[in-house]
Amino acid sequence: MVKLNIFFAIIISFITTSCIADEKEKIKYDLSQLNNFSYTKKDKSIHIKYQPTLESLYFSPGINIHIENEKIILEVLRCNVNKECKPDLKSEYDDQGYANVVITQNYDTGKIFISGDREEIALDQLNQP
Amino acid sequence: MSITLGIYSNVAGDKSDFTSGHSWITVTRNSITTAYGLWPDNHPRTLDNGRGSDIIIGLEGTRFPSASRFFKLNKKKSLILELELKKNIGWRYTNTCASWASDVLSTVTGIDIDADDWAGFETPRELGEHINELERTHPTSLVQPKIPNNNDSSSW
Repeated sequence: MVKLNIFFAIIISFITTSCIADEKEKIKYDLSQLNNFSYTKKDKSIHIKYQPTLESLYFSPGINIHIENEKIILEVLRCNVNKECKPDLKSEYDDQGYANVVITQNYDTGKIFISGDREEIALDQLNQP
Repeated sequence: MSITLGIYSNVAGDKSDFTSGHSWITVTRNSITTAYGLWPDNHPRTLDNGRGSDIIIGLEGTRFPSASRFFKLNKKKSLILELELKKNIGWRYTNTCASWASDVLSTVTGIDIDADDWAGFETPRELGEHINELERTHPTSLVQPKIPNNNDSSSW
């Protein structure tokens, strides 16, 4: 029994290590993994709402934001449950499983883009109110 | 009471990563559907309940599956299901959400939908692929579930 446990420990250690390495490029969600994405402008802030694909070993802690030329790029982070992730903007989950993020800058929403793992799309195009 | 058991995975096949996705089951009792899934204690969407059961109720709903299959249960199978749901089950790498969903289905209906992936670890992508293989030949839905035989042993 002890030998069996050691065997599993070695295998799991190998698999999780190799999987985490494999996941390095997957620190943000594909756009296809973000459901019911929407935003609303309130006063001088932008409220973003989305449902990331449910995963036992990953979750979305929030959004990273950076500016490239005139574009405001948002990346929805995908974090391993065994790792610590610190997004620029932290998400709060509601009872319906929506992640809610507030951008407190009064950006022109026409200049905001969501960058997925494979593609980039304008915020207005992804909006599903 | 009419009871239908559903099994789901939100990823299917090798295009998904080994560790990606999630699998779960639903139980529809007189048209009211409740989701049950096995989650690790350290997932931020769950509460760490220590040695308590990792079967979480209602987190998944019925949203966005890549694969799903449904089974109508008779009274005996329904009782077996309710006992399974009350067990104290822990999430481990050797007992994942996919392992648990597959095991519950097998225990209740006798039907084995295999979730075995590389090195014998059970994954949502493998369970999803095998659900879809069965659905392609004999499709089911919540309103048209498969009725398992008492000695059903179809497997993947």
